[in-house]
Amino acid sequence: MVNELNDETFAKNIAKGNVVVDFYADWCGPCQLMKPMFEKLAGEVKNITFFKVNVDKCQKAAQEHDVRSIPTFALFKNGEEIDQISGVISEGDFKKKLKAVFG
Amino acid sequence: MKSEKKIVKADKKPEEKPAYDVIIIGGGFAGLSAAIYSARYNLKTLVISKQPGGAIINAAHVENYPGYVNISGIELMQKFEEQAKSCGAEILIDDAIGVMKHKEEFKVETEQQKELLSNAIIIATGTDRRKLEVPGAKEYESKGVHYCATCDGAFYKNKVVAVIGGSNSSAHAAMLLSRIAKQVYILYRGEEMRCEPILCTHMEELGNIKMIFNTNVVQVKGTKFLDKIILDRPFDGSVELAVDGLFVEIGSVPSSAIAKQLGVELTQSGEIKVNIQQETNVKGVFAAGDVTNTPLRQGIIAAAQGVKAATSAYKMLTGKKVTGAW
Ligand SMILES: Cc1cc2nc3c(=O)[nH]c(=O)nc-3n(C[C@H](O)[C@H](O)[C@H](O)COP(=O)(O)OP(=O)(O)OC[C@H]3O[C@@H](n4cnc5c(N)ncnc54)[C@H](O)[C@@H]3O)c2cc1C
Repeated sequence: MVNELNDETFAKNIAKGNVVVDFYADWCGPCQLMKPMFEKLAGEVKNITFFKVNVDKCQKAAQEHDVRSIPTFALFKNGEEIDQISGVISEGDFKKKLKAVFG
Repeated sequence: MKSEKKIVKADKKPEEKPAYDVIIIGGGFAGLSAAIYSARYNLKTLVISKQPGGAIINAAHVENYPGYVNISGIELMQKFEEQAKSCGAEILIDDAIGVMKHKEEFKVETEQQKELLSNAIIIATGTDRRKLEVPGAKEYESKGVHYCATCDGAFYKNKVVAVIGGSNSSAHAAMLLSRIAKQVYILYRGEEMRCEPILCTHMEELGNIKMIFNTNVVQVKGTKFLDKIILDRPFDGSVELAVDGLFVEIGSVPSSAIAKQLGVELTQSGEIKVNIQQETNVKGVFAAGDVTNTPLRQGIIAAAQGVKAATSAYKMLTGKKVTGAW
């Protein structure tokens, strides 16, 4: 299970540790496609916390993090945004990116 | 074969036996339709696909696939996948990075370091979107330069956007964006749109789509986000056009690298050359869908070609002819 954040809970939850946030929308095909893989990784990868944000409901968080394309995965280390991944990406490439940023 | 009638030659050592009769590379319309038929021909079938569903998952509404008045691309492909699995095909989400002829069989290597053997290969790898190759385009990708209006259009509410291209896809993108953005420009290098005439009528009716012909984009500029594009000839007295978003619809290129490795003959533009039976020039290698020299890149055509490819593979592997087939 990946917990959903909203504009109120966003800042608090990304402030500490390694965090990945999936900015998505219900109507977006590529977002639906990435969902099972994201949930699988959330269950497997222990040193990272995974969250999701519905951009239709949380426009503030999306705007503040310059999200202009979905799905976008934003990678945070202690609240600082280190990188973003946009679009459909394979599990292998996603894992490589996580390893490069979080070790 | 799942039945007792194994195709693999009896004198082979057991460890050399291919695990599959047919490996299908690509899990879009063509690949999954081939899988349904191949599995129902009792051939042991594996689909390897980088991403499930193929190109159509970018479409929010599909209105011309018979049997569905209106369905989202992803929902339609989930139904294809479910059907392929229920017929007995296996699906592996992985990238096929190499295919070679291995004695009588084919060996497929994947990114997740799997080596898989089969007696026949169906290539159904579709196309990749053609990217805009002008200064700034890569830098502003997802920050103003986009390749999917359905996915990213919503971020341009009441903004000014442009679409590059003159095809059906650009018309569809422009119409979708016209309902979100306040102004949409279509930029096309040709003299007039080459989309279906009905789409041109729809675009005129929408009122906020302005077409600029005989014009190319030569650069994209901005700060944090894209804010202007540079044209190769002036529009309204300036080569600079202020836009918040640029949607690129300039066609696609066939994903035929794997076919090339196998010595499959390609057209000048990289499409796999197939005959009416979906055979390539390499025995045991079939191809279907958008990756081929198909006359029309549409879901139903790709699906039908997948069916023909599976039928040809069945005929080659078993020597049997399906009733009604060539
Ligand atoms: C936005 C959009 C809207 C469209 N709307 C319509 C519509 O309304 N109606 C319609 O009929 N058509 C529509 N089309 C066209 C339709 O999507 C294509 O004609 C169809 O998807 C072609 O099917 P395919 O199976 O040949 O290829 P694809 O659907 O492109 O599938 C190819 C698959 O192969 C995979 N692949 C590629 N290389 C490898 C590899 N090396 N290893 C493993 N896997 C690989 C890809 O990841 C992909 O999943 C639309 C296309 C787009 C982009």
